[in-house]
Amino acid sequence: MRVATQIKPDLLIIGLGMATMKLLDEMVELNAHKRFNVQVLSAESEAGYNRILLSHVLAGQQSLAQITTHDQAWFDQHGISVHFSQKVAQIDTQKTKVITKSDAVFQYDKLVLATGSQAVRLPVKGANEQNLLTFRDVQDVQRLLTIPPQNPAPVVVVGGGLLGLEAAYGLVKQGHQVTVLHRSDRILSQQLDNEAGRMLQNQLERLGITFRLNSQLAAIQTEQNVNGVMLDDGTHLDAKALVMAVGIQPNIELAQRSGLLCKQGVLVDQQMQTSQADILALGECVEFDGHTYGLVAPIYRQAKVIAQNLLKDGSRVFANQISSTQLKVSGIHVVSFGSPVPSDSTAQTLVYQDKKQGVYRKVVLVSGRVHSAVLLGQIQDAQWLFNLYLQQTIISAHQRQSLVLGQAYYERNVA
Amino acid sequence: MKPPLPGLVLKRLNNQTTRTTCPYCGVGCGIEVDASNTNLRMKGDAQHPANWGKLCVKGSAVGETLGMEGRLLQPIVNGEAVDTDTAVAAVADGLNRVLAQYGSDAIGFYVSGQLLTEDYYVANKLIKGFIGTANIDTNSRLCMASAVAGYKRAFGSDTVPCSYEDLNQADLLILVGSNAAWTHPILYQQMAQAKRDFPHKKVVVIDPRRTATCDFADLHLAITPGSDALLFNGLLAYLANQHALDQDFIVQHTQGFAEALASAQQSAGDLNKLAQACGICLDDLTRLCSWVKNTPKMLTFYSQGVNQSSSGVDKSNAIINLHLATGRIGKIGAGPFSITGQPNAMGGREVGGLANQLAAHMDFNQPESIERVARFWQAQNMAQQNGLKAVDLFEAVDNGQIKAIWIMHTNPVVSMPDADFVRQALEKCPLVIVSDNMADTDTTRVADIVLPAAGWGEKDGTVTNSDRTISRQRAFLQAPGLVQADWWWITQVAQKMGFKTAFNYQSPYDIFKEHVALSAFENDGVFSRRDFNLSGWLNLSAQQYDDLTPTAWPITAQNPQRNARMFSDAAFFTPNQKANFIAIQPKLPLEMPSENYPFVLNTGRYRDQWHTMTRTAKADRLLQHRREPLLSLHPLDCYSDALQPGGQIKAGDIVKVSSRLGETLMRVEFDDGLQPGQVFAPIHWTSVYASNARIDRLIPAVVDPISGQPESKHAVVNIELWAVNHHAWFLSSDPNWFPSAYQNAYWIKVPQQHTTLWFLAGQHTLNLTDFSAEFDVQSSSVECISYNDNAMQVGRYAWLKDGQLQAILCFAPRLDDLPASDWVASLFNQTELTPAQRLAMMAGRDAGIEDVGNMICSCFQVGENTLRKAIKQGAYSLVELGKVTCAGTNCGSCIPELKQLLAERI
Repeated sequence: MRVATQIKPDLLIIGLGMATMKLLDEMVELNAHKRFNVQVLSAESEAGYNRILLSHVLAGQQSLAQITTHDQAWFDQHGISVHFSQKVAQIDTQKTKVITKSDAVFQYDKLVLATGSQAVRLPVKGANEQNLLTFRDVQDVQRLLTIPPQNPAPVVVVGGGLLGLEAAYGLVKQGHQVTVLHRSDRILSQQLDNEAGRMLQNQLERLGITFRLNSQLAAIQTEQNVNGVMLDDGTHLDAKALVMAVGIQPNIELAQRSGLLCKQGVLVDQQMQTSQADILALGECVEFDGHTYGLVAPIYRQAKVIAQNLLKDGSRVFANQISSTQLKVSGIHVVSFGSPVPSDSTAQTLVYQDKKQGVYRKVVLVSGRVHSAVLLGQIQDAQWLFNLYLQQTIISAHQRQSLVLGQAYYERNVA
Repeated sequence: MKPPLPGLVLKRLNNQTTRTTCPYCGVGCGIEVDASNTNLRMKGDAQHPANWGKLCVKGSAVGETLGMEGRLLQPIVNGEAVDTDTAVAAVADGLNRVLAQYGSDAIGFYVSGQLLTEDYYVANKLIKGFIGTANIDTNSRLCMASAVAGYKRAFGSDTVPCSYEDLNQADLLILVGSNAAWTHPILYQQMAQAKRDFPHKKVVVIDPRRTATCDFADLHLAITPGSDALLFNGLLAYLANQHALDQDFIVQHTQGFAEALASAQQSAGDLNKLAQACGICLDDLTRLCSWVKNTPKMLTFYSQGVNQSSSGVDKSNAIINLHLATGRIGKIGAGPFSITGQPNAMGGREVGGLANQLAAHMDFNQPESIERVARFWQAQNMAQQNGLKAVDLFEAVDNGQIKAIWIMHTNPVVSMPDADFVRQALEKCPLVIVSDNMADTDTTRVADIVLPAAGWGEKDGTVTNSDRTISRQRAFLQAPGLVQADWWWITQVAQKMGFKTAFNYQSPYDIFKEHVALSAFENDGVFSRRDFNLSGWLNLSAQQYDDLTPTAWPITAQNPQRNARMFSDAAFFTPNQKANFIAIQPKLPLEMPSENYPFVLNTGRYRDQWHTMTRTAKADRLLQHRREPLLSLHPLDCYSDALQPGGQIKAGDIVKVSSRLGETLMRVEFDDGLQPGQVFAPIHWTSVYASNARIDRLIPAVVDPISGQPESKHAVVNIELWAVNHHAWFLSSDPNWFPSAYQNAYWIKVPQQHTTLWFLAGQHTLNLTDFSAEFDVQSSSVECISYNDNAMQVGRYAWLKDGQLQAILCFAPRLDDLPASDWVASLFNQTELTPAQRLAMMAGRDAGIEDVGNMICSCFQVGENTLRKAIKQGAYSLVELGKVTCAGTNCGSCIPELKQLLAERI
């Protein structure tokens, strides 16, 4: 009925990253999008893409089209309006409207903030907008692709976390020399223990990446372009470019400016409600119960909570939970969840190791249940182990010795 | 199909099938060897009257034991490899020196039922006729000496009165002290088939253990160990009471009946008391009584359970008494039938290769016999009296009376009772000569001179089986290296010692002819009348000898062909031709359980192993049935306070088994076929294959006063848990690796096709470098794959070199945390492992491959799990199970175990 469409409430979403995409998918799945007049404001100019696969684009293994998940036709099909290149200036919470920098005004009944995060830029000497590259979005990738390959000096990547390693991998594939600086004594220090860190480093070194562990960037040396970096121990390294990948921080200026309560991120409750009625938030911009988010799994769960609550008010809640992380580098398989080096003194560790094949499988048990795991090289059982963790399955003495060897062995060992 | 064994050289290159005889038990099966190539396909000889084409699992696998690994290929004198002339001279000089300095009785021979009759003959002739002592005994002493003495007491001769055909014709088969299903599988199968064909037949098994043989029994009497003679006395008294004896036979053909009956009535006249004394229920006893009373065609089949006893001869005679009193002897399907353990124990008896025999079924108790043999041999120095029997012989070695001993084809350091004593005695002996075909045995380890002897397939001659059938063993392989037949070594040494003409034989045929001649010499009923007579072969040509078909003796003018049932004329070989009843006072085993030694230990064979494993350990499939020696316990005994105060023993635990003589370490299994308080252990494992499982260390050297046969099936022992820090197994491709760190702990060596498997258990903390020392993990060609559960002290390590698996170690405090080794062992011959296999190694099995479980059917390698699955899926009978899995359709040795599995379904 025509009349009914006119009285549909306005659902306005700020940001078109993976969190929004997931939210829209969930709503479509539940047919919830039809109950709203859904509009999305995007600061970028592209349709929805899978940012996780940007390293493949950087490596030249996939094109942007190939990693695009939602194109214009999809939005059209589902009657969702997307407004590209719309940077929001202000949220008027009193009048429930959003004003963009180009002075467009969008009314809302429900507003969803999905403003994402940005790369942390360390305030080192010599750093500026031009010489400090990051690796977050398509624009970043496009800038990285302009680094001249014929210059033999290395690209220095600061940060040996997931993002840094993925950037380093893409750059090596572009034909650059790459040096990764990492301040800890092992790469992926959040995800791996020493042994797995060493093994992964060996594998990445074989791809051509150079590592400097226990070192921090002190200064960037530039003339016209970057030509070198200085480390905290005074070492000088030649460099033709510098990629900062030391972490992300939630984008909260808009929320702060608009009077929403924020700490690290935009504070939300378990229904993803901000301090302002009618404004929800999800994704890398939020903070819940002291946590901020950089992985898709919890964000996808947040999207589910919001989609369902938009349909039937308030019944679903979000809770923090360990996530499983993977490194997205072709040919190298790493999965980790939970704390790789448990502080719990009752933790018990099961380790399978086939060093020369680059295989490392470790499961940590606490109170007879899976507590964390690191899988390197062979990861086919990661999801199964993660489910055992989620379900807090008690591992019997009978099955314990085949746990780390994988599901096929474990399930054949049922007494 | 197994690849040809390297190093084998065929004797003649033609496409001939060689007909020969199996080297294992006393059944003496014929084997056809396709010797056209070194694959050496073997099958049962369809024309051999012992087996009619069938073979058991050991016989089927004999071709796999012929490989060169471990073979002794040249003589060794005081640690130096020498040529044959030097070796012969060293032996001859050594014996002559002892002879000159200390006299004849300072020399002893300890020989074996593995010798061919021709070898045996010249050994006996040398020592009794030329060295001048009867100090020659054989390992048959451990096997059937009591049966020999029993026959001789009753019949005046060592005459086995029955033939295998009688097994088919008997209506009541009583098996006493025999696990024939495992020890004489082909006879067991023949009996079982007869029972299937004629279900009216009754089968009774008398054995303290419920063994695989009980599978086809109508009645199993689990008698108190050692109460056999009492039971047979009771049967005699019962039949007398019932007036069910053959009075005519007793009067005409026997003597001494009244005394025997009086003893029987006095010791076992009351059935109630008898049942109690034998530990059986009265119903079972009266059932046996009535069957015995009503079944004329009764055959008693007895073996080591009767013989290996401190009153073994009396037990034999208690059995024979019953047959004499009922006239059930010399008739179709009837008789007391002693079954021997070895392929040529009977041949040894025929040549007189025992210390209390002279030669050719003549004895030292008749001076005219000694004179006759001396004259026949033209003996220069004829022995005049019995020599030392095995146990006494080694005592004489220990006390210095014997200065030189020549041991042929046997391993007394393992097989003799009080085996540690035997080892110590041999270590002290100034001259120990050992003939063997394996280089490293517990006995070659204490030898001064080792002579490489020809093995099965390389040697030529004759053997006699349990029913007196003489068959040819024929050679189809060339003896490797400096290996020579035993007769050759013996006659060369004899000639070198100076007895040139008497030992100038060119071939086994020459010796056999002389053996035939001696059997016939003055054996015409005028000079003497002897059962063992081959006079029908006096003119046998060399060609006829080569072509000889299996023939049972006596072979005389009256009876040129085989298969005379003995005593059908009821004429025995006593002076008045009457058989002797022997009055039997039943005796229990000498040592009884006490507070310190509360358990009774019984010993015996495993189905797929033979003696001290020098041969059978070379065929890996024979080690799959039982890979470790296990101490079997009744399940109730795991709670026994005597065993483990306040605690409990689990299957798989290691226990220390000790007697007053020594101790062994063994893994425990439960077997409810045992009586509580009785335990069982196998006889096979040696110092070559186990750290400490020589069961004869525990057995006291208690012997039967008449036969000198040790009570090897009885010891009283204590059992204590040997708490371990870890159980482990280690698979290594290096045949020379040795678990030095476990020398005083537990190790079992299991040779396999591409690897050696070691089962280990230790009380110390495992040290990885004990296993990894040879692998330099820093080297780029070496890889290590590992799995660790530190909290549970579980570890698994595999080492690879150039991509190929070299060794794998698994350890854990709990046995349950060790994976299976079989699948991993199969990876050792692969040049490269897949990623899935590398992971699977740490699980001990491929996730895609079934864990087949304990190997039940060795022929087709069908495991317990596979069988259980097939049964679950509807294979509810032996036939269906055979169709689905092939199990049991070749040799049939596993049929009792298959039936057990089928029974468990219900």
